[in-house]
Amino acid sequence: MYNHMSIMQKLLLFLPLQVLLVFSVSAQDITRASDDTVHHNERYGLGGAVGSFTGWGPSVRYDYDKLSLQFTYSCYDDNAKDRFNLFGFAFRHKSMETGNSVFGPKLGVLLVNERSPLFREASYHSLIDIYLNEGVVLSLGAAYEYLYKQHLSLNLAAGYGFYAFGKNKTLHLSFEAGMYYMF
Amino acid sequence: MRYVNRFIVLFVACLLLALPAIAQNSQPETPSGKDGKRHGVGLHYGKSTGKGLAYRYTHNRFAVQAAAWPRYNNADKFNFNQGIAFMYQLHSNKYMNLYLYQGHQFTYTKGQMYKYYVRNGYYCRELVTYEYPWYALSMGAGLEVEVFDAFSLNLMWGYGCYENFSMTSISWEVGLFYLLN
Repeated sequence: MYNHMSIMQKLLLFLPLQVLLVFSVSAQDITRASDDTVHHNERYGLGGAVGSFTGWGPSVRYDYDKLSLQFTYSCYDDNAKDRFNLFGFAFRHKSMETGNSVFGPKLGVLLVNERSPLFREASYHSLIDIYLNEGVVLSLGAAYEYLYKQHLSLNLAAGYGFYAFGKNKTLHLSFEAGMYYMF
Repeated sequence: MRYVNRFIVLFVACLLLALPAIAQNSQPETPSGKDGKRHGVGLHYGKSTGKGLAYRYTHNRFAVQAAAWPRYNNADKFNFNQGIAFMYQLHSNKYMNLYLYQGHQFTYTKGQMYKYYVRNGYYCRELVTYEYPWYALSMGAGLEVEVFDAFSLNLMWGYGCYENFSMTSISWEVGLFYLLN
């Protein structure tokens, strides 16, 4: 039964466990802060990100105490012939803070859906084929954030990612850079 | 149906961007523009808010910006690019402003080109006139950064529909304005 499961199904089973892990670490800090009646640091961010943690495009961020959630989405659709959708979300934990710098682990999930026509020349006839690229990138690594003038947040993340596109499954380096206006 | 799908994509994307705005705490009204400067003239280049010479007027949290770039080339090509953007300031500090924007762009291109074809075994050409009226709509967020007190650098990004809603993609815009009182 298990062998018949697709790689997507396996990842979907594995994903909630990882999310739960990051959330549980962060939840401890949130609970601790509540007990001490410390005011929660709640901030929102608007900006953009580029990388294999969450893809590239406009991005939003929500910081609550030591936990940070990030969503990145980009799309392209040209007359329904060429199209792609990149949707990524990430969790980051603020483990260490020194001055304007923040360090912590980051977990990113990127969903990729790409479709475009391919033109091939064969026997003087053009054959149209469809190029499909669908998959998931699951990244885990370390994140660094530098807060400039208290509002401009510059982000870097590096780690390892599990790239699953159809039958191709690769473990490779994963990077991301991002910039947000925090308020 | 295709257009409905694109509108849904654009709507969801805009909602994603607008969520922080909805959730933010209310802030006191800020003065118009940087240091109370209401007018700005400069250059703007955008995928969906126009290109060329630009003017911006700011009133409290609201701003409107227009950009235009008409081109005429030896009577065989005429291109007119006109864009307008409406902005709402979300957050402000000493150095920068964060705002949401909605952009509209109208592009009209008219020109002449040779069309080649084969007739009775001979290659022929015919001068034909073409024209493309295009409209683009976009929404997103923008960051205004003060440069050397008198200038403002604008970076805008979001999602847009182009070429009369036949294409959906990411939009980005950049502009440099000289601020006037």
